[in-house]
Amino acid sequence: MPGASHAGIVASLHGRTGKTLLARALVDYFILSGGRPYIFDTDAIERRLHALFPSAAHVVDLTIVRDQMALFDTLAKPSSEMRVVDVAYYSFTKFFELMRSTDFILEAQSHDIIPVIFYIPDRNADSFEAGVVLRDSFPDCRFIVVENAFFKKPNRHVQQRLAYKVMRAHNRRYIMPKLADSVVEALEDRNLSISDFMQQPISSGGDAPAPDGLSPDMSVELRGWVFKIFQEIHGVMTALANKDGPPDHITGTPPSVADLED
Amino acid sequence: MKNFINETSFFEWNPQLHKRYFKLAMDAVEVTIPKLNEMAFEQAELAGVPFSAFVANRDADGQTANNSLVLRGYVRSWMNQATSEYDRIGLIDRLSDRGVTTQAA
Repeated sequence: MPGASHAGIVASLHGRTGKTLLARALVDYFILSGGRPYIFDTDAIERRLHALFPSAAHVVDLTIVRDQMALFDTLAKPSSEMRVVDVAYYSFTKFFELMRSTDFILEAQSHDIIPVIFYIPDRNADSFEAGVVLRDSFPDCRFIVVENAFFKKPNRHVQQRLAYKVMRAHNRRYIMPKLADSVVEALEDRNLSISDFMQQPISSGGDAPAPDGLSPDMSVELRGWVFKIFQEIHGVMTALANKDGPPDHITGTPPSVADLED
Repeated sequence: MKNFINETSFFEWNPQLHKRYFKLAMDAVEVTIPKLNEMAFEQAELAGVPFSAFVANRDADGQTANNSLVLRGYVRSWMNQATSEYDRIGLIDRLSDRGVTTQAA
């Protein structure tokens, strides 16, 4: 689909699920691909995505109508640039209410923009239930279940829930590789841009201090993780852009609750 | 017709007064028009077109306008709520002969 751009909407029901990490990885992937993506941070309090891309990211407070307009009018604007939205957990309901009331999916598609919801369930039962409701509320929107490898499997009680099984059986999936805790902390402390980091030369000596201040071990760990996460994003984006693509893990019709009940 | 478009209240703060006031219209059917967001209302007014044209993003000449997607969404939701109210009371039937015939039967 030449000329089409994507609007990546990263959401989860609760906080601390890796939303901002995935949003920044998407942004960096688009930047390294030569784009200048539109970046929206709906967390007007912590502004973590904005802190990473201060000159490009827009902070929007969804309780303010002007900010709602800045977000959705830009998301649906005809342009070949990609768009990334980090939906704060406390803006979750408001964001998707607006997406429905504005008929955003139809408007975006009419401008050759493909909206994609990246939904990250955590270990709680309600996060799987909210995921099913969200997916079924927007049947015309691409919906990707993100598995954050950082989380352990939910307990058996949750695994027996129908919503968990529906989310597990969803065809479009994205695996977010695990990153060592020490590297996550270093990333958060330094507000390090992944795209800047990836453009730095790899130190051959191993003991010269890197401009980002990361130790050589951390740099190796981070670089390996970035390769994996970019590979995943690339796979998702290629499959989304190619309607007639190979029957990979993100094609096909997602099973419904009724299918799994039978 | 309870019109909340400008956040009017109808003596809800005083149940006795509310009851007495609406007792005068005991046989009337109540229609509630919800509040429309101020900015959406203002922009629809400035556009100088019917609400339906504003939602369809058309200007007075029928050409494509540049109305905000969000504000069009507010107007669309408000229109849906208002027309649901009209449907609920069978407004068309009440205004036409069908209503008279039905009532007479």
